[in-house]
Order: sequence, then structure tokens, then C-alpha cells
Amino acid sequence: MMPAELDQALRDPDAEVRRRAVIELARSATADVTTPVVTALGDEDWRVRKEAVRVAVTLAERAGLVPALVAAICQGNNVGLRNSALEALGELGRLSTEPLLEALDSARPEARKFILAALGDTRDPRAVPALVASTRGDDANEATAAIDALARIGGSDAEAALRECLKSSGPFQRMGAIDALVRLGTVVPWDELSPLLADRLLRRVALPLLGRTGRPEAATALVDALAEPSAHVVAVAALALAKIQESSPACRDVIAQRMRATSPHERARLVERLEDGDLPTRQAVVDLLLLARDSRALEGLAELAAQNAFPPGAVDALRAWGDEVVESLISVHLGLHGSARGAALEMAADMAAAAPNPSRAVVESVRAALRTALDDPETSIQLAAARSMSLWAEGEDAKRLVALTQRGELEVAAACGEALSLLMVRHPEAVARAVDGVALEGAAGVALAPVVARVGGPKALEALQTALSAGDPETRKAAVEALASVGDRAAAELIEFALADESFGVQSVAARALGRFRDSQGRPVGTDALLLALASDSPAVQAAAARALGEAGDGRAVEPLRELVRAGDPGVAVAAMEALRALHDPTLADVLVEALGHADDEVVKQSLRAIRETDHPRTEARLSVGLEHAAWHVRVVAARLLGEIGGEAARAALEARLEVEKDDLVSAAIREALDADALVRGDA
Amino acid sequence: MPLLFEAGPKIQVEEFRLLRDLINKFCGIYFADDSMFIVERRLRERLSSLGLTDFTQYYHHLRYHPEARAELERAVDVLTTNETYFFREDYQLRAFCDEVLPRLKQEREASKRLALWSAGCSTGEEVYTLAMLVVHTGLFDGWDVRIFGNDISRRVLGTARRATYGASSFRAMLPEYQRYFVDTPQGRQVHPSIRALCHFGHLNLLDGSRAAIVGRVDAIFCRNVLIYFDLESRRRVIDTFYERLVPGGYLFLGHSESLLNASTAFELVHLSTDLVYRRPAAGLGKRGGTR
Repeated sequence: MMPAELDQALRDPDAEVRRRAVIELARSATADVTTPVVTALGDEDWRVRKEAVRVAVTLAERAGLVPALVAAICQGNNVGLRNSALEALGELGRLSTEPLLEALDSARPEARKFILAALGDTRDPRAVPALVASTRGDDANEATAAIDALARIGGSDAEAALRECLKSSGPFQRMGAIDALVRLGTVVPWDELSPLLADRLLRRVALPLLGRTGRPEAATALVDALAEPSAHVVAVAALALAKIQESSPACRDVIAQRMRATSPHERARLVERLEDGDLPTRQAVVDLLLLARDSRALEGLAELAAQNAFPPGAVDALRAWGDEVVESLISVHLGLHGSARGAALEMAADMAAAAPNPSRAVVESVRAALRTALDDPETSIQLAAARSMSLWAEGEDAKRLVALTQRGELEVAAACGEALSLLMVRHPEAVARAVDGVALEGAAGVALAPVVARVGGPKALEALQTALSAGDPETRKAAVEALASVGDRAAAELIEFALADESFGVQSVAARALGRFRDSQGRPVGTDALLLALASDSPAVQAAAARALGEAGDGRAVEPLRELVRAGDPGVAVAAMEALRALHDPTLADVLVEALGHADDEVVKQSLRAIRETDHPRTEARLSVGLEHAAWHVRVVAARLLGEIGGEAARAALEARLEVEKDDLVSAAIREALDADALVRGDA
Repeated sequence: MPLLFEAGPKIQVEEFRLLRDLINKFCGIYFADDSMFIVERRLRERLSSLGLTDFTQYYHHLRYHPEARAELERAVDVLTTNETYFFREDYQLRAFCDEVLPRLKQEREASKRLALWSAGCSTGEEVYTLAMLVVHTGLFDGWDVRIFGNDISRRVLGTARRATYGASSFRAMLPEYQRYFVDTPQGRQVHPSIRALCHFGHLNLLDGSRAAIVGRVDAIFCRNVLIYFDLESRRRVIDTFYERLVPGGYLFLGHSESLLNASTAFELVHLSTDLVYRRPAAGLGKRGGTR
């Protein structure tokens, strides 16, 4: 677009035309972009302003836009322009700091608070001294803006200044400082907080800080806050109570005692938060209602359980509730939907199983509910019941479980199979009768093959052999796994045949199984077949065979494995490296140096681990190479291995890397390694 | 495996991050650090199914196994909440029905063609809900109506195609739409006349070029899907939506979702009970980028 066209488009009455013109602006050769960018930043349409912010950030350094942006936040006519300029300056970060600090001294009083806000958005620690000075000024608005800005920058100087503000006489400053400390995650001691609690407004804002104190007095104040009329305050108090319970068992006792004494009205307000709260709030509320032994907690708990999001203290609270909770859960499950219904049933079964002496009525009630649920049309309910049957099935349930494997989905069938395997321990005859003559095909075949193997005997071997010819590869895989657990020579031969199965998946499982297989003298079997499998067309089979040979400990595998490290697919190279490590190949060192430069991160990690195990004079230097790797997880492994080795060279490499490391996990690993190194050297 | 006291492999922080990044790259879904425990619990069943004993092995499986892509889909399937139901967020559907459909009727009168897309349709309830709403208005009789639903999970698409649902799918059912179902021994099944309007496909929303199979659509429903995505992936998907919508087409997001910081390409439209996004109908007549 030519400059004249662009200029016209930027003034077009259609906002979409102006928005697209702003996008063009970033690419255009227009000499002066300041005027059009500032105009667009103050456009009446938010989409144009938003796009202008992006363009301003892109062009700021090249076109020297920062002074114009600072001027834009100091003007008082166009709020949209000011907000857009604030956003742009914030995104520019450190580039904005100095011009903003320069403008601060000369700005009009009403503009100073916007400059302070912009300084906060830069997140630049160089702005902290000026902000701290502004917190001490006479203008409350300015002080509050500075406090808010400090919260966005953080750091020990900012936190110290904010804690000082808690003693300020100005209520706005104190409230702002509390809010800032909440946002920064600061732990403020109880003694500094308790004087603030007399003021109702400050108390409400300070609830999250109370949750970090670990003090029973704070827990009491938080339970009191559950009676506040504001739904938001109740939710915040619940979250703070969850936090304080985590850090202090004494606080949990205080809270449990207080919760049992709460009024129905207070509990009803908590129940409402189950409807509108986010996940952490719902977890916290459920936890509190459980402590109060309010049965409405159980519905919420079931919903959370269905999402695998149990509150941390839920199991203890359920246990403390006793037998009664089992009946309540059974009753609650009938009113729920989908996986939450299944979760309630499963929790009832789990709690009854964990009870030291469940009453006969509870036991019968659980079994009756589970048996009914096995026939439920919904898969999630069948699944819950089948899983719980691993704890509750009796001999008479064996046939029911086998029948469900034949009509249920794969997951349900698998749960039935697991329940039957466990039932074998208590009622082997009943299980043997139930699986006798059952065709091992499809989901039932996958689920029942291990059960049949546990039944054992010639009939079982025959059934599993038949299953090896099943049309479904999943059944054949299950049969191979099951045969491996039978453990006799005939089974081994059948598994070796499976290495020639038309499915690579079955071949991989067979290779894995052979790696674990030992004859009656504890010797590996099938290594010849595994060596052949190393040349498979499938990388998955090659990898499985490589690992199996590593487990089998057969030295003949070393040479082909070394070749696979050099030339194999990355997944195969990783497996081959693992196998060579397991085989303690004494000539591995030369392959490893080559592997350190491999394009795949996992190969590099394996080679680092193998280098650690070699007795080479340059081990530290070689491991240090890993500290410079582009992938953070390779650097973590290198740091740990250097920590294990210890010594001056390792320490120097770790310290040098720590200076420049940007990734938090790697930095943590380096610090741990340095600590470990210190222990090795006796420095600690 | 009991629910409350289950034991199994523990996920380490590095394993979590590696798996999280792999899944994010695959489909855009992003798990924050505080999801580690949930990810651990939900993926354990996959480890168990594959006979793997730790999460590093699972990561290797997802990286190197020939069936890694299928396993990634299964992982996403267990990690995301697929439960949905008919007439979910009905205030939005009311707005669609009362205000958007009459507008579309007017605007598409010449072509007599209406195409809707339920992006991330899970088990299909939303697709069938949209079809029922369109039919129930009576505005589009004799039109070529197509409603497309996609998901990354083949399992949920299987359920969608079967169109047979249990009680939990009917928790917000409206009585006047009961007639669009027939009872079967397996549950209540969507009536064939509604099913005939609905089409399902396996599609990763990050795969913008493959999304072309959806064609141009008049409205997209993508509710409670993008909340699981990181910003960059969200932008990519929104660009795809822009591409797929006809000028003037509507985008419906979940009640807690917005395009703020993700795109300026859509304009906000104020309906009586909701705010929705629309691809601008006007403009320069050529693409100037969506952001």
C-alpha cells in the first residue's frame, strides 16, 4: 500500500479498514510512523487500538516511539490512547524504564500515577527505588499506584517496602500493600498481620496472607470469615483455609472443630460455591464441608473425583467420618450423572474396604450396589463397579465378571480381568470354573488371558496357545504376556514363534517378554531369536529386542547394538544405549563421544548416563558438554551426573553454568548438584 | 485399581514438563504446573495398558513408537474432560436461535445453504443440538443444511456417530426437543432425520490446512475448548476459524472465553442474551492478516 493510500485507510470510517491499515503500517516504508501510530492508539475502536499496540511495540525501538508513548500516557484527553500507550510501554519492558523515570520528575501530579503504573508494567527492578520513594509521598493516589507497581516488579527490596507500608497510617496504602503482598506470594508473619484485623476491610483483603502464616489464630480468623456476606470473600477464605491446613496439622484440628460447629446457613453458602467456584475453590469448599461432615460435600467430592481432582485432605476427612459415610456415598451416587456417579460408588467401596471393622450392613450394602452397577447400561458405572470388585468380589461374582468381559468395553473388561486375578487368591476354584472354556477373543481375550495363565495347567496353556492364533492382535499380545508368566519351556517356544507374528506390535511384546524370561536354572532363553529381531523392519521391534538383550545379558549382542547406536532410528539408538549400559560394554566410550552429538535429545541423555558409568579421565569434561546443550532436560541430566561425580572440575562447570542458566528446573538441578558435590567433598 | 487409595508410578517434574510440551506441540492443549498431579493420575491408566512402568518410558513411547500418534490421541483423550450434554449453555443457544439464525436465513436466502461447525465436538451432543435447533425453527426447510463436528479423539467420535446417549447427556434437555429422539435398548438415539444433517470428522484444530475439509461455514461453535490451549495455539486456531468463516459468519465461544489478546480480526456483536464474535463482512476486499 502506498503512503497516501495508507494515510487514507487509517482515516476510513470503517473500523475494519483502519485495523488492516494499522497492520500494513508495520510493513510500510512510511518515514514518520509516530503520528499514525499514536492516532491509531487512540482510535475509537478497540480492535484498531489493540493492533496499534502490537505495531507500536514492533516499531518502537527502530522509530524512536518511546517518548511519544510516554507523552501519550501523560495527556488527559483520550483514555483509550492512554491505556493503549500504557500497554505498549509495559510490553517494551526495560526499554521504557529510563524515559519514564525521566518523565516522572517533571510530570503533572495527575500524570505521575500513570507513569508509576507504566514503571510497574516494565517489571524492571531499576524502577524500584523511585517507586519506593513514591510510596512515602503525601498523595494517596500516587502512593497506591507505586505500591501496585512494586507488586508487579517484586523482589526483596519491593517486598520490604510493601511490609513497611502495612504500618502506614493511610488506609488505602495499607490495603494496597496487603493486596500487593498477596499477589507476590509473600509470607508475612502473624505478628505483622494481627494488628490489621480489627479493620473489617483490611481483614477481608488480608485473608490469603492469613492462610500463609501457619498459625491457629489465623485459622480461627479464616473460619470466622466464612460468615461474611460476600460470596467472593467466602471463596477466598476457603482457599486460605486449604492453604493453612496444608502447612499445619494443628490448624487442621482447629478448623475441623470449628467447622463442625458452623451454622446450616454458613454451610449453605459454602455449598453455593460448589456451583460457581473454580477448581481450587471447589476443592477447598469440599474439604471444609467434609470436615463439617456435611453430606452435600459428597456430591462435590464425586464431581472432583471424576476429574481426578481430589482435595488433598479428602481421604483423611472421609476416614474420620466413619462407616456412615459409606451409606451416604451409596445414596448420593444414585442422584449423580456420568463418571461422577461412578466415582461416588467407587469411593463408597473404597471407604468400606479401608474401614477397620465395617458393619455387616455396610458390607452387604456395598456388594449389593456394586452388583447392581455391573448391570448398569452406562459404561462409566460398569467400570466403577468392576474396579471396585477387585476389593469386593466373592466366589459367586466370578461368572458375573467373566460375562461382563464379554459384553463390556475394553476398559471395563480389563477392570473385570484385574478383579478376577485378585479373586484367584481367595477363590481359585470359582475363578477357574468361571473361565473354563471361555473363548479368548477381543476384549475378553485381553482381559482374561492373564487370569487363565494364573489358573495354570495344561488346559490353560492350550487356551493361551489358541489365543495366539486369535484374529485380533491385542488378544495375541495378551496371550504372549500371559505365557511369559507361565514360565515353562513350552511357553518360551510359543513366545519365540510370536516373534514371527504378522503384527509388529505382537513381535515387540514377544521380544519384551523374552527379555524377562528365564528357564528353571535362571538362564535367559530365546536370545538367538532376539538377535535376529534386531534386524527387524520395525524400529519398535528393534528397540524391544535391544532392551531384551540388555536384560538377558548376552555379550553377543554388543556389536549389533553398537551399530544401532550409530545408525539406528533415534528410539532404537536410545534402547541400544540402555542395553549397552546394562551389558557393561567396556569399549563403549568411543561410541558415546559420537552419540553426544546426536540430533536426538534422548540419545544424548543416554550417552551422558553411560559416560558417567565409564572410568574415563575426561568424564567431567564430557559431561560438561551436556550442560551447554540446547534442550533443558539434557542440561538437567548433565547437572545431576556432575553432582554425583563431584570434584573441582565438576563444581567449576556447574557454577559457570548456573551464572547464565535461565531455566528454573535446570537451575534447581545445578544447585542440588552443587549441594551433593559439597557433601561428597565433606564441605557441608 | 481403587479410586481413593490407588498407587502407581509417580511422575517427576521433568517427565511432566516433557510430556506437557509434547502434548502441547501435538494439539495445543497446555497443562500448567499445578496440573501435574491430575496428569499423573489420568495417564497412569495408559502406562498400565501399555505395560510401561514409568513416565519416561511413556514419553519414549510417545516419541518413538510407530503408533505414537495414535497414543498421543489416546493421551489427549484421557487428559481432557469429554463430558458434555444436550443444550449446554442454553442462554447462548437461545441467542443463536432467536437472533443469529433469522439473520443467516436472510443473508443466505440466495444460496439456501447453511453450514455450521462444532469445533471440538466431543461425543456429539452439541452437533445434534445445533441440528435440532435449526430444524425446530422451521426457517431452513428445503435448504442444504450441514453441521460438521470434529474432535481429536477417535473414541468420542465413535460415540458421536452412534448417536445413542445415556441419562447424563440429557441433564439440560428441553422438553420440546424430546421428539427428535427414539428409544433403543442401548439408550436414546438421535432421530435419523437429525443425524442425516450431521457429519463428523477426525481433525486436530492446530492443523489449519486440513481444516479446509470443513469448507466455508456460517457459524462456528467452539465452546470450552480453547481454554485448554496456550496463547500461541489459540491464535493459530482462531486464524483457522477466521479462514473457515464466511464474511459476516459468527463465532461462539464458551461463557468464560474471549479473543482478548488472541485476535483483533473479529468484531463483537451484542445479542440480547449474549456477546458473540463475527468475522467482519466489510473491509478492503483482500486479506490483511487476522491479528
